[in-house]
Amino acid sequence: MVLPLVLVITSVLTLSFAIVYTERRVRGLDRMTMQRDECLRYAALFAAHRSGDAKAVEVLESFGGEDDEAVIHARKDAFEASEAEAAVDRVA
Amino acid sequence: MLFSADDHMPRLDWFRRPDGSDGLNGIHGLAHTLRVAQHTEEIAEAIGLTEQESKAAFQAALWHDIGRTNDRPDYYHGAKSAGKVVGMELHVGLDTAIVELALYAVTHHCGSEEHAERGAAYTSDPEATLRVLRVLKDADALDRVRLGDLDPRFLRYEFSKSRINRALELLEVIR
Repeated sequence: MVLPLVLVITSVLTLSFAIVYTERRVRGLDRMTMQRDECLRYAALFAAHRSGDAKAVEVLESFGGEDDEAVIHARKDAFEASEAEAAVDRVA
Repeated sequence: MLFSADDHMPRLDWFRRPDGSDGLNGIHGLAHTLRVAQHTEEIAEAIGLTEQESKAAFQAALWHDIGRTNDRPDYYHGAKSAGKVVGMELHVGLDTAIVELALYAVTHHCGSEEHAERGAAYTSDPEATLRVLRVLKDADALDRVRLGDLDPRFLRYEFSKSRINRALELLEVIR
């Protein structure tokens, strides 16, 4: 009676840990990807500004979606997903 | 200051944003930038950073908020600042090791320290990278006195925690 119960509890705990761990890893990667994308986009955007390439500026600005609520919310969600980020952001 | 007057000191156009607005006089503008730079210089000296790390921290302070597109919570503005540095070629002429340390600190000065620590393992000098990052984050945090919500518990170095009065003083001196 005790052994099956221990096995069930162990399995549930292991599964829960795996889910939480995986979720955190995926969110972390999302965050890294968005960070990289923003960095690259800004590098390209300001390089285009420097060279006076108006078309490139237009494309890069629209791609970034500064005024696009969906993009802003996606950034916010990915940002806030990371553990303790709200606290860390307070001092940034 | 570490740099008297050269091409790598702040220029007004650094604060111009893609939408045409100007962040120069905002709460993340030039005065904030110069106060943070002053903090980095003093903290770096006190905790014994190498000359290279000190220069990187100072340069990172000058660049850290130039990618902001607003003065509200601006997600990934560290990454945007780093991209803007490269796009505007502000890093040209600097020692490559300094550029690497500075851009890493700029990119990760906002957001998860856990991720920043993880990523630092892939840099040329992980320990130096994290020292520069932490000095920048403490320097930036100290200037929260301008907003009235500095919480010293978030500061990373003991020396930083002793600098609240200095932060208030800089707030008066650099406006």
